[in-house]
Amino acid sequence: MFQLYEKIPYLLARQPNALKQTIQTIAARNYTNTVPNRILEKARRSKLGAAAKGPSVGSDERPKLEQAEYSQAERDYKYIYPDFLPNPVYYFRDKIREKLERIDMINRRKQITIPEFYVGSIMAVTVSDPYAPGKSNRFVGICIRRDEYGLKHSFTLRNVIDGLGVEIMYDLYNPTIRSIEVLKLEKRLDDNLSYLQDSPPEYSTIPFDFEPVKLLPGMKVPVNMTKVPLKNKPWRHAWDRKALRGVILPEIKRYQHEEYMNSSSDFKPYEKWDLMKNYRETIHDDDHREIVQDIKKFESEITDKQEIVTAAKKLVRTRHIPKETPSNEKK
Amino acid sequence: MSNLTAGKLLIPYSRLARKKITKFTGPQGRIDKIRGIISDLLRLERIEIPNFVGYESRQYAERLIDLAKKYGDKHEGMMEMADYWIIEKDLIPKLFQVIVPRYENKLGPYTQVFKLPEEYPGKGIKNICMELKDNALPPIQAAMSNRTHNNSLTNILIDAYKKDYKFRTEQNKFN
Amino acid sequence: MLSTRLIKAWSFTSRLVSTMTNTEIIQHRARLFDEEKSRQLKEIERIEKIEVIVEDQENKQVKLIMNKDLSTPFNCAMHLSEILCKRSALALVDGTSLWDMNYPLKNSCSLKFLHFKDEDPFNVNLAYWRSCSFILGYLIETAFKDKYFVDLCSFPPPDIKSGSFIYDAKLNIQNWKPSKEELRCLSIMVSKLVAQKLQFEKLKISPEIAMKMFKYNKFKLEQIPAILSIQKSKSESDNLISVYKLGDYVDISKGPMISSTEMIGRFEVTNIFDIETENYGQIQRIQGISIPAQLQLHYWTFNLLAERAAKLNSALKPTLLNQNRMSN
Repeated sequence: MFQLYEKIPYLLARQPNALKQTIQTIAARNYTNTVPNRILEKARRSKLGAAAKGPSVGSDERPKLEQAEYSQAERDYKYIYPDFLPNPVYYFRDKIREKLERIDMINRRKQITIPEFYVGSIMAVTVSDPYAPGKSNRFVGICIRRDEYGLKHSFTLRNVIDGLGVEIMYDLYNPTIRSIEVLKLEKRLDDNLSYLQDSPPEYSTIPFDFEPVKLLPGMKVPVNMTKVPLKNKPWRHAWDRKALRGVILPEIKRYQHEEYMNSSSDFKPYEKWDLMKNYRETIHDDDHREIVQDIKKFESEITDKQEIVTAAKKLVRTRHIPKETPSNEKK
Repeated sequence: MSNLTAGKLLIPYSRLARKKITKFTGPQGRIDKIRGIISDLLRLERIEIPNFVGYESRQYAERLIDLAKKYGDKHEGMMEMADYWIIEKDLIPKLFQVIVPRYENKLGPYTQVFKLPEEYPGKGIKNICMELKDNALPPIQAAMSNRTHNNSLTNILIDAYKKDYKFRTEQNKFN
Repeated sequence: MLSTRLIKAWSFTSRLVSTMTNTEIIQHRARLFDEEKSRQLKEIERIEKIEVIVEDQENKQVKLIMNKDLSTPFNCAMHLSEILCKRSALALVDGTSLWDMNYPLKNSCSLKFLHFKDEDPFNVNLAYWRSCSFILGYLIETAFKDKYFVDLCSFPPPDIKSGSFIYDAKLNIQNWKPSKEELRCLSIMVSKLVAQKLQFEKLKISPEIAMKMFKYNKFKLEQIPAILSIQKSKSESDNLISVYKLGDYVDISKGPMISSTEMIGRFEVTNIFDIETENYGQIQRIQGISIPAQLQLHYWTFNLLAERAAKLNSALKPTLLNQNRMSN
């Protein structure tokens, strides 16, 4: 956006009307790229910002604050490490391959810290690139989607640079990745934000000097309740046929909409209740237990290592202290 | 979709769901029919239905009891789920207060199925009898005949083969 | 396949003195059988009625009025249901004696039909095993070309636990060991028999006609007086010999047999062995295994059973003095 304002006088001379309109709409929405920390803090304390305890139907809509004891809540590994989950379709599964892949993933995680992140959180990834100046490339953007299972797990970042939408897909366990930072940890209303492609560019522009926002320890991940307006048609996909929550649809003619609703294959309210469909598409507890054991073992190893490192740092500091004292004595 | 999960299903189920149970009402009608059968099963504890509907709704009944066992009646999502699947609302307390305690120490399947003979002459519909286990009704096994098939020709041949095989293996051991 | 192999072996064979071929002998026997049957039918001058009380498929008692010496248990089943006609292999008369499905009833009586899935199908199993041996005889006599002469000998009483049924015959082909393909050719012939749905016909004939019927078969000729002497020793009143016919093929057997070839499911001729005997010299023992169509078996298990049936069956060897063997 900063770059846009710099170009305004030059562009105004060429297309005055179109630019005026866009600026007015932005001003009317009171849009800001970066949310100040005090406003974020207010949002976190509010009822909507706090996530409900435990996964359940419609819990995001009506959270219960009484039940949510954040400090005692157990970590839900299913959502923190979705890459550890195997493919739920059982003819794609192979237990030995899964085990081997898990070992590889844990080994990689010991090399670099891969933080917890979700679809909708703002991230920065630096990749080593032989042709870039300094041989490294840093990219900032919103995580739009997470795909695939196991070692093949990947995530996609989106940003708008100089008015052009850019999406980069990173393999999570790619060895050329140097570091993954989460600048702002939050969730959105949907699991897949691909509809940002068909929304105005303001909703996916993030400055490269975005300041990281910190969460208090023991706090649940906040849910960003913003709803994104979509542009008029044509679209990349039929967004109105998918049951999306974080979208404001443009006005569709009534007869068209009814046709969609009747013919749509994606608009299925009964699927929410379909127990067996859920069972077939997710992983059941007995399988999940095995994976959690591996993850817990890994986490305990990591904490041990971190404690050793911090202890070593303290030792170094103490060594420095006696050196300073004789200098004072000399004075 | 709901996020409720439970353990492994311990009954046979196909990789794909059977989509066509009703003739005209579509997927919503399919779910409605299964809802009706589940509430029938909870009330009567033993029902007779055509097999293709029975095997499909059995999976849903098993899974509902599994979830009720895990989450209990104080979980919001679970209660909504029970409210959806049980049409007659007086059965919801029965699910949590009678049926869940009954299977508290039981891992395995909570229902059992018996094939019924085809009616002759009839339309060739295959029926099954489905029931919740450990119910108070008189047991079905008492009504079934205890006849054995040991004397049929194939079984005599197989038994003779087994004896012969044992004899040969023992001989090989001594040698 | 079979014929080319046999032509090579033919140079070593020695032919019998008689100039009759096997097909001519079969036709001769069938002609005599038909003549005798028509003669016995002509003896019935007046049709009399008998009352037969039949047990239904659903264990209900049904009274039927049938013709004496004409109507068979199969005809009774035709009045009741199609399933009874298809599945019943034997009939039980008055709760004691076994009766062939295609043998006319003599007196008014009560009937019960037996099949392979009964509570205790002991008698039906034996009848099935016996009729499978009978069919083996049919195969041996019809499979070879006319220039090869086959002498049928006899088959032992059925023993299911031994795993195979047997027919002993003299093939008169020296140094011939059948390959798998040749045995398979023999087993395929049975499927043709099954498709034809041939019925087993029973007839009781006097020993003189029997001697005339089997005059070209030296082994059978020797057996007929032995059979008669055994029947006398067991104090059976009638001095007759029971004979069965399947298609054109006729053989001596005491019976009972199953009703038709439709009941045969899988049939395999498993092996042919040379055995030494006292009275007949070196003869061949043909073995096979089969399962009725009413019972199902996985092909893997059937192959296991067939492997066992391919080993030499240690049943009694054919001798004239052996009384048990003659009473099959």
